[in-house]
Amino acid sequence: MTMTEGTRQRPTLGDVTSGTGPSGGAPRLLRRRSEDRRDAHEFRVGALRKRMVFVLVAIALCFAGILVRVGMLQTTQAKAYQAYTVRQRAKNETLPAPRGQILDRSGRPLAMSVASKSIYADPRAIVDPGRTVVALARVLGFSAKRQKALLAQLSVPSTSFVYVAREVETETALVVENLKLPGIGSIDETRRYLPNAEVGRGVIGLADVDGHGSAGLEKQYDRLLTGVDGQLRQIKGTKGRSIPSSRKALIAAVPGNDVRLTIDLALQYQTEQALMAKVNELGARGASAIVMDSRTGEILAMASVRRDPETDVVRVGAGNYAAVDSYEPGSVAKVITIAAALNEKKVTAQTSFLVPFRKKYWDEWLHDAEVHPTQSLTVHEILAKSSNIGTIFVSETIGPDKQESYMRAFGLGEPTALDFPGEARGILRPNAKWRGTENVTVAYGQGVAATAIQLISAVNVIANGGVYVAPKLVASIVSPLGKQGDTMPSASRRVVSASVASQMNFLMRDVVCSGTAKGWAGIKGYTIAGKTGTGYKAQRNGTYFDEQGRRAYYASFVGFLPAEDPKITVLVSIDEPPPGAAHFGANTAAPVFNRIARAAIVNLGIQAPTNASGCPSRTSSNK
Amino acid sequence: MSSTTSGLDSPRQLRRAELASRRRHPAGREVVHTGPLPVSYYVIAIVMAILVPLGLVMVLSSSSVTQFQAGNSPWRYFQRQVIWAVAGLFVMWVALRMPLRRIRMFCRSFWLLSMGLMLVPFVPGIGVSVRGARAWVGIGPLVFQPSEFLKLAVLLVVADVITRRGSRMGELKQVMLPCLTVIGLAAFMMVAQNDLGSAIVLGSIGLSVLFLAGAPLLPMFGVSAGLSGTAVAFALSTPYRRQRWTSFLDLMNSREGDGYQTWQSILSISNGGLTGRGVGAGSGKWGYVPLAHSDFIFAVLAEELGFIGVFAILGAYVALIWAGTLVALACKDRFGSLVAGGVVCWIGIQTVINVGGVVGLMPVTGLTLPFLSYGGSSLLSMMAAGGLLLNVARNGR
Repeated sequence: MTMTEGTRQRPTLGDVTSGTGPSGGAPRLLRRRSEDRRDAHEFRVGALRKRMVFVLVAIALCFAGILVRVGMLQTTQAKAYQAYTVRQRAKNETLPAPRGQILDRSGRPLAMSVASKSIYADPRAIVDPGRTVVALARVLGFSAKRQKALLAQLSVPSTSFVYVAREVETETALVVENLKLPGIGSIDETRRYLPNAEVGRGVIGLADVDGHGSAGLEKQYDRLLTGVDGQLRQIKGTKGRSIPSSRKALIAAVPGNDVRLTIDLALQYQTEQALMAKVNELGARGASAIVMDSRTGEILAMASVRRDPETDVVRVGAGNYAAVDSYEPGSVAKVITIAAALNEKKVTAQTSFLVPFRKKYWDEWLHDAEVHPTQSLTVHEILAKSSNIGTIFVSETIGPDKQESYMRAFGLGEPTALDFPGEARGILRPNAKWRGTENVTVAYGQGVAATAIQLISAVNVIANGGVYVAPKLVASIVSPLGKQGDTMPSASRRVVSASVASQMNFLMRDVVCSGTAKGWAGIKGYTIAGKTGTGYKAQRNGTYFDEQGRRAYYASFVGFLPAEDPKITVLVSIDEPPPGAAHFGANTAAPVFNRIARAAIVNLGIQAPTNASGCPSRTSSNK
Repeated sequence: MSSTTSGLDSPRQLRRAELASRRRHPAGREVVHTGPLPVSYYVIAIVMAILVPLGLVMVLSSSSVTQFQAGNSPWRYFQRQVIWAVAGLFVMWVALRMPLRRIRMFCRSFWLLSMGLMLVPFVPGIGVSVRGARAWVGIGPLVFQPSEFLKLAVLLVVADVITRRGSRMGELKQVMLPCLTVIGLAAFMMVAQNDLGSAIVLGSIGLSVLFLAGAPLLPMFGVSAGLSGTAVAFALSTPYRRQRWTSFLDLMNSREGDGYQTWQSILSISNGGLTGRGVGAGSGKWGYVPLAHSDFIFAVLAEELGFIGVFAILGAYVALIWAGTLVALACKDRFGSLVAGGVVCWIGIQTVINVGGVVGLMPVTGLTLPFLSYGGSSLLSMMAAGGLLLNVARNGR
């Protein structure tokens, strides 16, 4: 009561001194005021200080707690949390290893990998699928059908990745990128590229879009060509960008090895051109040719051309038919039969047989290609004139066992050392299983089937002085650092004696000079030995006639030059020359042999020995 | 006559005294105290001179990547923050030069203005919601958070009320009630904006000032317990809120959900190690730590500057708080003393709550780190508060 009264009235010192109030009043009031002031002062320096210190200590404790927590996070517990950080923020990136090149024997690239781009779409981000497809189709040249399919793919908003076009040119991708279509992007890829277009593509084979060999040498040497992918591990932001200052772990990619072939690019090209020209000229189904180094077995050219049954265009075959397809070789096999009989010393070149035009075996008439009276023919003449009946007589001197074993020794009936993907083994049954006329026709190359590579390797035995040398396609493997590792020389084995080979060499020269190939294969200044062959192709019905009763032929010529010191052996086969005047090995395959041999002479610098006989003078007198 | 009485009880009296002062000093300024300035003045000035530019650098470091990836200029947030900092310098200068008496005159108007601004975020088209809190006003490039100004206003009003009625501290109706009303109204507005973090800081500041002013302990304890209980009840009121406010307790299980921010922040902090990755070289800001430039800038600081940097920064805050405490204790003017104490509590509490959330010791509340975080209104009001602290240090001797 008094206090409120006092404060309201605000008594002054004057009031107190005048002594109007009750005697005890003034000192009490005075005391109140001074107490008030003292209280206030005490509060300021006492209570405030205490409470301020209290607050300060509380905040300091909180700071200390935070400091301890951060300290633990950044030191003792850092490892554990950093592991989580790395798991979340470090991204692994595969660095694709460049695939090795396939080179020709001089190191010119036949197949290489080049940078390309793939166009992809993220349908979730596409604003207008219809217009996007139209814009893409204009740049990428899509057909209406392809556009429709793409539109269907892009209209599914739940998918996040669709390939629009794989492995397009980088320039094309740039055009697409500049369209700035939402949801369309491009990624870097490599594309397998054949710098020489189709040259050698059947042998080279294919690598698929993911860079794995799927056919041919690309498949066979896939492990060597494929490098070891590298890895880049780096910290990335949520949008996938690498953080510039972060630590990186890089394992560099190891490129694949280069594979250097024995193929000569120029000769391969000329071989293919020669075959295509002839196939076009004849209207045949296809053709194959192989050029082989007579001494080493190295294949200098291996070409197959095929007529596309739909477009009727003759192109370099997508497959290496010279190794994959086998046919009945026909008369070329007579080289084996006669060499075998000579090697077994059952006949000599001058041994003569009385040969009729035709003879009946197992109720079937077998006959020679041309009608002739029954006449006496030497072994020499049987080969030069390519007499079927005569060859049967020669074969009968050694018997089926020897016939079969020599054919095997010459390499028929099993795949060659090329081990090319899909290579055929041919057909050479054990002689006990020969049926009917097969028992005798095998001697002249019917009832037995061989691939072109088997056949050339067999005839090359004569060129190589009686020694079989396995064919080979790969000269060396070049490591990424440029170190060359040459492949092993081809395995070789003696099949007939050197003198028999030499005799055969002379006999085969006469095939070219005076025999079946006379005027077709010869090259002026060079002595050429060879053998023609015109096989019947077995049809699906198991006979040599198709449904219309027509025969299909497989016309071949195999030869080597210079005969005095053979450098190259060449096989040319024409597949299904149309029946008519030109369907024999002599008038279809031998001219191609001639053209290829001329190219090889120029390309490889083959010189005829100084004592080159060409054709013996008596052949010219025979003319 | 009235000038000889002990208290200046009403604004009218204050204004009269102010006018009288102007008559005596035509320049309109109080007599500037002569003599050397106290050490704490320099400590406060130096800490702020370090923290504000450091904040600018770290805002640039933490926002450039995400801004660039969003298609903006990498300098976007940095430029805005620089403009706010320049504005902050001006506000700080004003707060430093303005006589405390005049501040007391203006504080109620300032409070009313701030309360009015608190309503603006609810205006459609102008109000901006960030992470559920409708606490921002956005007019073109100008974005600000009125609650930051309100914190300062409430601090000033409460200090003013206590100063005027300080002698009746024991009477709940005279001091506690009006102060708690001012605090409660402001906190209510913040909760209405769904910004519980600001409400907590505001309540803490207000109660701290009351506590420092010598409010009786029992009612203080009761009020604090009541408010904390209300806040906890609110935080746990719905399953959504409960998860959000308790996820920090079990980060291993909530790191893909509600604890994602804190988990990412902790990963970034531990990635810093003892010496840090270097300014600019952190990984957290590359889209991993959300709001790396504002609420979670401490995570970026810790990753890029390491434990040594964290120690230095926390040390700077402690120095600031320590110096502020000295200022509060040395001030002979009660208002100045309470304002200084309040600012100290503000900086201390907000730093602890922000960093505590970032390091996973507390729930994440959506508060800025004083002086360092991106955020114009936050920087502006913190620099104003710093200016007041300097003002008190200079004039309260």
